[in-house]
Amino acid sequence: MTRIPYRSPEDMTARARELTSARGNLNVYRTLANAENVFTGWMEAGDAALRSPVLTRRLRELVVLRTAYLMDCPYELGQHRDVALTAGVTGDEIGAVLTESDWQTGHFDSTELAVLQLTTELLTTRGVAAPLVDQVQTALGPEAAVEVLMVIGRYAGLALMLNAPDVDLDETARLPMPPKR
Amino acid sequence: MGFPSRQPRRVRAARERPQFAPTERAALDVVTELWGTHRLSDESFAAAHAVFGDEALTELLMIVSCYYGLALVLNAAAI
Repeated sequence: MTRIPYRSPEDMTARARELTSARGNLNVYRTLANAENVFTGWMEAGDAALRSPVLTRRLRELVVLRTAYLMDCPYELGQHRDVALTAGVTGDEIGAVLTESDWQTGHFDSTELAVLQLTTELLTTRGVAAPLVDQVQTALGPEAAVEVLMVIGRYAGLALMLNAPDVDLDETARLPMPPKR
Repeated sequence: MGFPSRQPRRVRAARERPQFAPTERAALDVVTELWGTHRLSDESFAAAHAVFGDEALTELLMIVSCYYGLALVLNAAAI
């Protein structure tokens, strides 16, 4: 049960209301809208990340799921188990990503494995060995590699914001991908 | 690579110093517990909420989130 009240759309600024509506009026956004002065800027940065075509939706969702698992964030897991299915990730693949080590065998190609390894190493040790960073950069190019790091950073930070107030998973609403305009 | 294990101890030691006001100590408690456990206990949340209220506590969480994520990116990129 949430520890911070969900802000009603009618109590938001017009821009905050518009951004929240475009993402399905989810509980996460209605919670963070309490921080009026920084909420819209944070949402607009997220919009850019969610709309960027540099990463495939499938690869982004694999990173998000692995991050949610390692950050122990039930809200992100609840949302992105469903979102990932719409991005070409199968139920078996989702199950594998949400384990300690099953993802390492038989489910993913070499690029996806390298990205999942980077995600795991970064979130468990807070650093990454240089050869693994090089491997991901070689496979994806520098722009996409940086976007991978930014996805990890954004969803790891978001997990803290969701876990601290214990935001409730929405009953049925899920993040529309891409967000509506 | 990774944060040295002594870093949380330095943070705890800092917040226990009397020169920090109660509000500052509450903020440091939030950062330390979130950093270490990825969540806040009922007791810690209630203490922080009593000091900050809904808006300021949410803003504090956004600051922690932003710099937690940024630190990961910086560490990975070895900047």
